Amino acid sequence: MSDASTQPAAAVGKFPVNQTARYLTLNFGGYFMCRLATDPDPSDDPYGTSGYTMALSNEPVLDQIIRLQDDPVAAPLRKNPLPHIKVGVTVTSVTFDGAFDAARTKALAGARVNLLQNPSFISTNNTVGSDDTMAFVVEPFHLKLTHHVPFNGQLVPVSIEAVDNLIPGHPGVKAVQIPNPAVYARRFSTAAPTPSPVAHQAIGVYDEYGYFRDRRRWLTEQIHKATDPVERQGYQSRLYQIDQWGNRVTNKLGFQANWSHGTNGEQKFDVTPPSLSTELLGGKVIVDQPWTVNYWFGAWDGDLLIGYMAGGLNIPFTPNAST
Amino acid sequence: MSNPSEQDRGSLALGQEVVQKLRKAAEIEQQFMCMYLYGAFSIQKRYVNGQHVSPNAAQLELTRRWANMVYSVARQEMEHLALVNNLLRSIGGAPYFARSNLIEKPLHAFHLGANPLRPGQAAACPASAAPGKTLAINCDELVPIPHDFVFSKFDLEAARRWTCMEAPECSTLVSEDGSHFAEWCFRRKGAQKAMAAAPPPVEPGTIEELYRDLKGLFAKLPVSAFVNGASTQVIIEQQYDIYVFPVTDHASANQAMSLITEQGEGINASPTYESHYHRFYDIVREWEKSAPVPAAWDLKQDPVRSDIDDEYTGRVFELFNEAYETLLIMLTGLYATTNQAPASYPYLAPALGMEAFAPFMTMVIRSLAEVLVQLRATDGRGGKPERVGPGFIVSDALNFELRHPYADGQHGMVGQTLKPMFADIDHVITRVEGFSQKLQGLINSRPKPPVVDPALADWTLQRMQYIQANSHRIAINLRRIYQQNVFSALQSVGY
Repeated sequence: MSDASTQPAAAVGKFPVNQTARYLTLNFGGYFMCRLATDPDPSDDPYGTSGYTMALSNEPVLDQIIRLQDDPVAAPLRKNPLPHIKVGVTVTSVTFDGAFDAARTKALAGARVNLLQNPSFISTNNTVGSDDTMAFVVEPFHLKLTHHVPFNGQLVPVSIEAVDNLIPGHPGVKAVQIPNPAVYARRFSTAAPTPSPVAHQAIGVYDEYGYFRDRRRWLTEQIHKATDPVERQGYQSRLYQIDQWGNRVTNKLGFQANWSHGTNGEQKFDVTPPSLSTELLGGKVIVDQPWTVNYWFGAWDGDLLIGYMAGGLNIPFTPNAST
Repeated sequence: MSNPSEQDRGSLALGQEVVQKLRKAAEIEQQFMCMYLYGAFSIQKRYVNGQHVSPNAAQLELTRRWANMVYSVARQEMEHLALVNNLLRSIGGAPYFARSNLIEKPLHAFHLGANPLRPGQAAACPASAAPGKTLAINCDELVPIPHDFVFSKFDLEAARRWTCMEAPECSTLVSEDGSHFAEWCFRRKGAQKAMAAAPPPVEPGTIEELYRDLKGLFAKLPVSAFVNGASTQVIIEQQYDIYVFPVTDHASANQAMSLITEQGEGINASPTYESHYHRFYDIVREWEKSAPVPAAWDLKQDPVRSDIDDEYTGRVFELFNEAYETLLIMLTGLYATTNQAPASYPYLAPALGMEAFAPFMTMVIRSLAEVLVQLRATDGRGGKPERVGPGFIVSDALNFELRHPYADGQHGMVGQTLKPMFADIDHVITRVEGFSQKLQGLINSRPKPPVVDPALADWTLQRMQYIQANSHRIAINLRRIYQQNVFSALQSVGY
């Protein structure tokens, strides 16, 4: 297998010089949840025993799935003293050619951002990536943005999707099946130096230790207040993990893992009705040229199993002449 | 003054004595590790509506924390084993990963003689007495209770046994922190008649005594005895309560041994330090205060293949042993490799080092053990447990090789010849890939594994498929890292 085959760009000799170089960038951000096992538990561990994360005995098992939207049944948010926290990643702003685009921001802000097909952070205890350096693959990668855009007094459904395959044209192939990690290296995360000011700013927490001191205090109060033994033991396990792991839990609040890659699979921009496709955003979304996406996950609260995710989807875009 | 030849002979004899004691220490640390892992694998992780009474949800949280502690202690035993091997390597000894099987009951060899209880020491001991009372401890009146290494399920008896095996001597307990005195580890002298005639294997103070002896012997070694430097030793940067550093001189040797006894017995640790002894002691106390907690699946004690009636389960049991043997081969090869950071092909130490710990220990060894305890070994008639845990059984042939990893009786100086089974990467790859293929054959042999609890059939099958896929990938990684050190780029990224 040749490394060149992984490149999402067009083949040599057919580089599309007459295509637009200008991007419409849909910026997004928000809290995500991931009920993931952590080392040294096996990476498919459903309960969490020797790592710092766990499924409490009255909760669903750890399923390793990255959830960008609230799912109170499969992944209920644990009780916590931070009422402002809500899981949900949405479009926060739109830029065109690098400049803030007020009209299109107004149209798309609040669009729900999701990763489909139950993706996970894949390294499998250093088998396909590196847990030590936080080199993970988000697998599979199928990004979908959905919204109802106000247009002429109506709400017009819009769906934008971008898929990237580890090997172009082979959507089912997983990292564990690809012998050479160089083939999918473009999909590895690289960790920012910690603590990351970006991660801190995203969640408005700059004192990691104070944050978890408050959490310890709150959990201790709940242990004393709880009348249900299951609830009380759950609080005790949460407190135990924070105390047991110390910095390993605390400094993840300042953690930031960055990804940046193209999307070599299906790229879709669907408007209902399709006749509004160029009118709705005042231009043409080009789906047959490569898109790119950059995103980060981090600001990780290992007690609540949530963190912050932000990024941007770059779509080649040609504005209508009038806009 | 002795003449030089006598000095040389004396140094040689001393060096050999240190090596022999370190080999004992290595084996004892590995026995501890396996014993704790066996107990940890037995701990119920989830409420299931099976035939057995399971802990309720509140009890599960309690036992989860205990399981976390037991796994943590087992990891630190791995750390101790690694440090002992660095101690061995530092003075030119061969790495030592041999381990006698429990069914052979060879462990009396570890007994180091009568345990010295310093006379005249006594202390008040509120925690070991009934509430509101204190118990005077006089070490003159007590004798330590011996304990065998046993692969048993995790229960109150096991927790007490582990507490005693990790306990320091009576006199150390009294002088350092009498509040953690475990009265079930010692008997009044009048009860001594009940003790076995054979020397006991492990009793309170045994480990403390072993390392105290070793410290004394190391102190007598000349500086010139430290012949293998840091580049020949395995280093594990601090993570998950493990820190393995190179041993290069008297000071680092002393610190390595102090770390082991501080973590294990709490020797010279602060009163709040969570030594193994204190952790197990706390578990016992917490257990005694709780309602009866059926924390573990009922696993056959010290299992062997003939205990297993089900052929499929028997194959998993054998595959586990095969994987465990492969791990010991990988570790011997890794620790014996004199260049731990080669700048060019071949990259033997990076290949073994990056695959032996995580992922092979976590994704194969532990994962398969967690499968095994879910499988039906017997029909449970006649009071036989339905389940078994892993036997960690090492064949006689391999144990011989592990005890003699170098050709012609050499001990591992730089330039000496390691036997091909440890130095030949193809041998390791063939073993790992062979394991993967056998596991695939077993998965293909029937649609669902013979689990005791039907609710866990799908999970068990998925876990086996996961182990198979990852073990195959580990074999590929071994080859690729050996040839190109391809994963090194990932190791140097950012975090």
